Amino acid sequence: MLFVEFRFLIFFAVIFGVHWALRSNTARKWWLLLASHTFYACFFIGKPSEFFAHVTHGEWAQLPDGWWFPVVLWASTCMDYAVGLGIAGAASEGRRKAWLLVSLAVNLGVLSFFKYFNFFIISAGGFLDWVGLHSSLHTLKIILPYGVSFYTFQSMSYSIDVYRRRLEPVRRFLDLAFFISFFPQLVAGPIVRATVFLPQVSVKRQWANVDVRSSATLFYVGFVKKACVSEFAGPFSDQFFAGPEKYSHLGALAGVLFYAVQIYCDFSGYTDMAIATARLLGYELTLNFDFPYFSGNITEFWRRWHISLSTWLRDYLYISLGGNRGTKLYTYRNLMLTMLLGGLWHGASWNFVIWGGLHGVALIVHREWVRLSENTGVLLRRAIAVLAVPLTFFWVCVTWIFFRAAPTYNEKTHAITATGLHNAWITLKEFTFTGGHGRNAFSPECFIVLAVLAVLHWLNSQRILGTWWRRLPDWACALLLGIGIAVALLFVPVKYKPFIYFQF
Amino acid sequence: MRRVTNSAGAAVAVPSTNARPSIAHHALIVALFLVAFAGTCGLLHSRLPFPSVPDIAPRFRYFAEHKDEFDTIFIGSSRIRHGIIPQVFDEAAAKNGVPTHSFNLGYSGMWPPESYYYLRQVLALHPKKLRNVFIELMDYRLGQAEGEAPTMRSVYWHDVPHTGMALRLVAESPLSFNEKVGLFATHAHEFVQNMTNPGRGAEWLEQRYFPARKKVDTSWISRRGFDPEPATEWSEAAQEEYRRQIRVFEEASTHEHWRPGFAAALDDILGKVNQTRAKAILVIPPTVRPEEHFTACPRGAFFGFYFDSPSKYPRLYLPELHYDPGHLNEAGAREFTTQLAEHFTTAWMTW
Repeated sequence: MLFVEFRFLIFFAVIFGVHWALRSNTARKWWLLLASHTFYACFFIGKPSEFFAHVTHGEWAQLPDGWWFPVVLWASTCMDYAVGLGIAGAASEGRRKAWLLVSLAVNLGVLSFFKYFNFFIISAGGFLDWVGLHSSLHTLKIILPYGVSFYTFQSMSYSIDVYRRRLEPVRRFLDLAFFISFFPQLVAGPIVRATVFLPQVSVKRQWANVDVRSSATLFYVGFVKKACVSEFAGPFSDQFFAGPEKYSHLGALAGVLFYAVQIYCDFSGYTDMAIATARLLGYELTLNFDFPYFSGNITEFWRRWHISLSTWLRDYLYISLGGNRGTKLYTYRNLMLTMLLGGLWHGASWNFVIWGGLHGVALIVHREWVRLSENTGVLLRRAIAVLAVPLTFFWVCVTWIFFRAAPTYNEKTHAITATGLHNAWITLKEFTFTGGHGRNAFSPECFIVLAVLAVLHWLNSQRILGTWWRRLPDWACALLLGIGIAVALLFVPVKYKPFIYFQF
Repeated sequence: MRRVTNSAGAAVAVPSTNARPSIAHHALIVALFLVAFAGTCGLLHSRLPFPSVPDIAPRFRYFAEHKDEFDTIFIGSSRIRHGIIPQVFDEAAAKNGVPTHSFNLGYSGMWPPESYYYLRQVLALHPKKLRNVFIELMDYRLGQAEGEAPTMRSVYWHDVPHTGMALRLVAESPLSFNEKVGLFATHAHEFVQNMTNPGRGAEWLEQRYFPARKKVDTSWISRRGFDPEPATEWSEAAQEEYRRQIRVFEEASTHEHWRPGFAAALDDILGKVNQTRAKAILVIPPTVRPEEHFTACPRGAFFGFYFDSPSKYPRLYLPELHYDPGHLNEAGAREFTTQLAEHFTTAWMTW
């Protein structure tokens, strides 16, 4: 069930109505926990009648793939609940650390097994073959549970924060289970910290504090981003990346720009809808995007793109590695490791590692640049300021080429083909005007569409549209929203593609 | 808002603590939203052209552009699409003294109510010369036309009368309660989708500015809508199985499809055709599917030509004229079209 689907509207209307009708905070939490698991089940259950028929007849083999996904979710929750209590009750620092290590080992173990087992086996096999030692390593048919990358990070944030004494351990299991499985952020984030969410759980939410108008508007904006813009841009980028060698430089430029638009609108649209949905239920989630494509440098980009992941990596990985508390080389090593692992978090594939590596390089270069340019003249600094945003965006687009270059997995041979990286290399040459002889191009109207989207995005980043909207009376907002949704629906597909970040 | 004095002594406006909007205010806002939404959807729906349903829309658009050239059309499923050759029909009819100029609007999976909706759209074009409308007599399709719904194909015909028709036919069907509930939900969902015009603006943009993205096969234009199925080699086992199906079909005489909703829907569409100057003619192509054997149909009450009888039309059931048990190949289509034209011209003489 996707946020943009009609059935989600029905589902949410029921959840919303019952939630606010319930008086007790505990009852509301139980209700939302049930709702969250129903939402989660929609991703793998297939037809409910068939699923329950198989269960009642004990036909376990007939159950759809992934029926066990909630087991992983519950196991992770139970383990971290026990770890939280264990840390709180530990008599010594050593024992506290031991409890934390249990949490990290189990959570990272689960993530590694589901996400990286085949990747490491295939990579190891490839390496052994390369050095002449022929291997017979076997891969497993592993299905990645939905949202595992997101909820294990949330779960770990709880254990680490309890360990760091930033958070009291949760005494009521319900509270932790609710936090980890809360449906707006369960499948694709934002990765909400325990320190942000758990204090909200303990206090009964008040309807009077819910800003319905801004939440509805945010949901609408997210809907337009995903259902209209991302779904419109997707076929163009798919068409381009299926055969980049056929395209001219301008074609490559449009193809990559469409992908940049697609991934931003897809993911930030999802996040907007998740935040709005949570707000309508009285809960506040973490901000995840802050107009990242208008960043003046790559460091700023990472403060504005997938904020919940980048701050998680900063606080729990980069700082744990030592952060910038050492020599310059030590800091750069930490930066690079953080970005490589951040890349790997997206998927078990070398293209994501390269993507992370390119960002790591850019972060290091930017640090050096800041140091070297401290004593430059005013004129040069102004010139750099003018070029900063386009240059940063250009580099981000270069990295998207590798991010998009997903390798193809051959189920028969269990081999991962290098087509993706090969195509990335061709795309890079065309995008940077250094090679390529293709002739295909997109129509000039494509660039007009891209320009219109950029202007709208800029107006929004300057809070011009938002300020105008807030000044309108409620009745005008209701009318415009009604008309706006009807118009937006003209540009949505009958059947949606899943959100890109669901695969991570 | 209320005025208070801040620490600097200046008067400022702050939200009043007792200024919470009333329930009536909320209700009014929600009502305004719904009116604006439904009104805009309705307005847009009424102004939008025929939706870009793959393969069906190009045929409809072609016919719309040439609507005054044709006096005879054929509407129905793949058995019409692959079974009737307009040029052969016109030649055979002309040979018998009835000049016609026909077009085949049949398409795969086009069962009622979709076929009735499609025919209504065709009639709404007011083709000036239209005299004969051949409609394949088919039961209502209870499942989905195209695998997993929704698609533009499954959505586009869900207007108020045809969704109502679909719901009534589901209610009257012999399906289980759970299956009926599932189909009710599906049709209701598709109705909402159709009324909210999903993707219709995008398809307009695409047609106008990005037409190269989809390549459409237009080879059917020269054949006036007919799409031939190739000749196939039937194995001995396949022929035996086909003969068994024919026996089963001929022995099956208890199939009941004449439910009130079905009869009402058929009456309705025939009435719609008769309101124009055209004549509605029902057709059952050669079939071995028992579910298409309308034994309960009061055939005398409806003007039509029914070829669902292997004993009466043995040539039309020869394996060498079939692509598969349900569809004719090109040679079969030629034979069937000729026989249909002969029946038609014979009847025409008596009109």
